[in-house]
Amino acid sequence: MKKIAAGIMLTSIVLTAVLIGTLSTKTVEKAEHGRVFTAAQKF
Amino acid sequence: MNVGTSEQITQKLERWHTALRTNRLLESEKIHKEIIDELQQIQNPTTQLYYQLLNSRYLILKRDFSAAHATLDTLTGTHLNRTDAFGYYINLITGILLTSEGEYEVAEARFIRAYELLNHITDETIKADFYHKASMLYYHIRQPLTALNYANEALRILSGIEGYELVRSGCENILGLASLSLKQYGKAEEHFLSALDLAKQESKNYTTLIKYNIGFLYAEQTLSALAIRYLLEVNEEEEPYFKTHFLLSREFYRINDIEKAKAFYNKGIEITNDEYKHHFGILKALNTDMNEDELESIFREAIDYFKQHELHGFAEDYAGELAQYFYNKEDYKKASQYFNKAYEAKRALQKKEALK
Repeated sequence: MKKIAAGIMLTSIVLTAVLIGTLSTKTVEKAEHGRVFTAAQKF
Repeated sequence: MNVGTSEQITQKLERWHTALRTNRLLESEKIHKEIIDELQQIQNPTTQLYYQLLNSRYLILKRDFSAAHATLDTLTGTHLNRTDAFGYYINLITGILLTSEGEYEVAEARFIRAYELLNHITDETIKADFYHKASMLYYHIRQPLTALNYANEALRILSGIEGYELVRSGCENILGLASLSLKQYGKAEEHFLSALDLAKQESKNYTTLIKYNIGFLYAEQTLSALAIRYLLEVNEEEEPYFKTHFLLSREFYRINDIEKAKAFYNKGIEITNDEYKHHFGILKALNTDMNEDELESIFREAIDYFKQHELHGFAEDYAGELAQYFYNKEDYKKASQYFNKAYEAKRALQKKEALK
């Protein structure tokens, strides 16, 4: 049980670190030529 | 969301929320009609706010971005700085809308705020929705490792939960794209095939989008014949789309089928956006008999555009290609000038990575 809790906490710490890191990012990049599921697709 | 609203309406709103989160457009439309009929009964301001938030997400799903903006604009002044579940939803939904419109910098700020409020959410599948949407943003802003983290987190939560196959497919699709950004071609293919399997069970529409990415994967490895096979199939299945036309034109030029390359170029340039005008321009410059000054001018305009829009990856690619062109012509002065531009663009990208 403790192991699972520690695992969740670690994931949370890693994700927080990633977000805090990107918070200071001033520049942005657009995608390469790939496509994601953004909204209803037109077919 | 437990916000203390009338039971019957709340249940419908929850069903609507689930349909929206799982990208089920037809089901979302059906539930929306049911809710519209009972809309006048919604007197409670909290329920009205919840309806407005879900409605803005519904409009995004329908690609009616201006209506989604109009709805969100009426809410942001009062509710954007809230520190509760509603604050989470308004930041997340605004972030999703801005990502869809390519306004990535502001979108990221909204996602960060939503993340800070994520502790107000108890339903794990709603958290997975956040991770999935965040992974899309980070793929777009070319941070593939962050995109991988979030997509994996969403998949971990949704693993084995029925009804979320399409979201899992979307996550596998992001894992494929992020792997492709990292040039992990084998991994990318595995993820795209998993995405395809999951989407097939749910919705045929999304399989077209994944097939496009598989075509893109092969194009990136210069496996042109395979890429063309997939992309032509995609082109048959969807409305004309400039990205598909761009890749098809590029791959037909690669195999020296000039007639077909020109046909896809001509159609593509008619339907393109500002960014792709430059991709198309360079494609033409590289494949037609163009004098050196004209070619250099097209490349320089494109490199300036990408630099100005913080698209350092493309600036690096194209400055490198132009440098190679001048090197082959033994114009070493210009070659070194453009190699330096490519190096500067690479440094700009690395600087971003170092901030993480």
